[in-house]
Amino acid sequence: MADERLKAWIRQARADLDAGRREGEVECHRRYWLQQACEKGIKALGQILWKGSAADDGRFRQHLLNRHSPLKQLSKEVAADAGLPKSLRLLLRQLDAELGELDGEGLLRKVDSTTPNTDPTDARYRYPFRGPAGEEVAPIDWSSADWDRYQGNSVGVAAAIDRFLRTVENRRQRGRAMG
Amino acid sequence: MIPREKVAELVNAHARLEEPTTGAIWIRPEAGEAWLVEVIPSMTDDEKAEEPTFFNPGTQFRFPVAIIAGNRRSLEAALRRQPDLARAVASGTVLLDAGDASALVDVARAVAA
Repeated sequence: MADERLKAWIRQARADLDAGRREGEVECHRRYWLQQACEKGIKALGQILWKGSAADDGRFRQHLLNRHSPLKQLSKEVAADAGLPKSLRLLLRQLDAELGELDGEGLLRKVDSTTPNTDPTDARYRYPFRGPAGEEVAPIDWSSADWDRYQGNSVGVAAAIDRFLRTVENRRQRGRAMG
Repeated sequence: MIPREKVAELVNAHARLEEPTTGAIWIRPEAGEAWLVEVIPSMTDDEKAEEPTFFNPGTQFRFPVAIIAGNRRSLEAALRRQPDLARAVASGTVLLDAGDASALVDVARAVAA
């Protein structure tokens, strides 16, 4: 059952990546799907690593699976909330250690930090936001260069996510063979 | 047994984090998991520092892990509460030491004696 769930997360991440790479889509939509693919990959890796107590499972879902930008958010919460379970603090370290090895250029972490949000002054993938000079920007107004500055070069980002998802999928298959 | 160099790679990765591990001792090398006692100075005081946190194998570090983590003061107190843990640390292998791992081993040896 857990493996079926994990497979579903990876399958959806792969579908998001395919959508992010699709020719003919406008840039903001492609970028949104790239962010989603990265986010689901990180959450899949979190599920692979997680071996916390049943008592902490709810907090794991709340603080990792149910969050946008899971690394950025968990990092903030770890810093702000001394009452957060130690297992979650250490999980963040395990995730960071894993990503440090396979994401040397930091592209995945950069994408993770670009959150679909509701703050009108932050860049957003799907809704208008206020630019640096106070101008109203629709996401579709931004050029590829603007999105590159915000999220990283799209070809590099897509390739990094692709490698990441393959690595996570390989780990899932290895775990299945061991289990 | 998990090869020492693989465990050391994980410790080195933890030492490179934003809130780094500054001391690490590998204990119970015969176990199926890599048991690590890690000094993380940024952690707040913890009255249950001796309790391990377990992780499944990852994509880069392909072995299960059991981490006993805390700041130095909490880990020293844990060693005094748990003679079994003190004995394991006293006979463990220091993989990283910015001064606090050897101090922890000294406490463990005194407790285990």
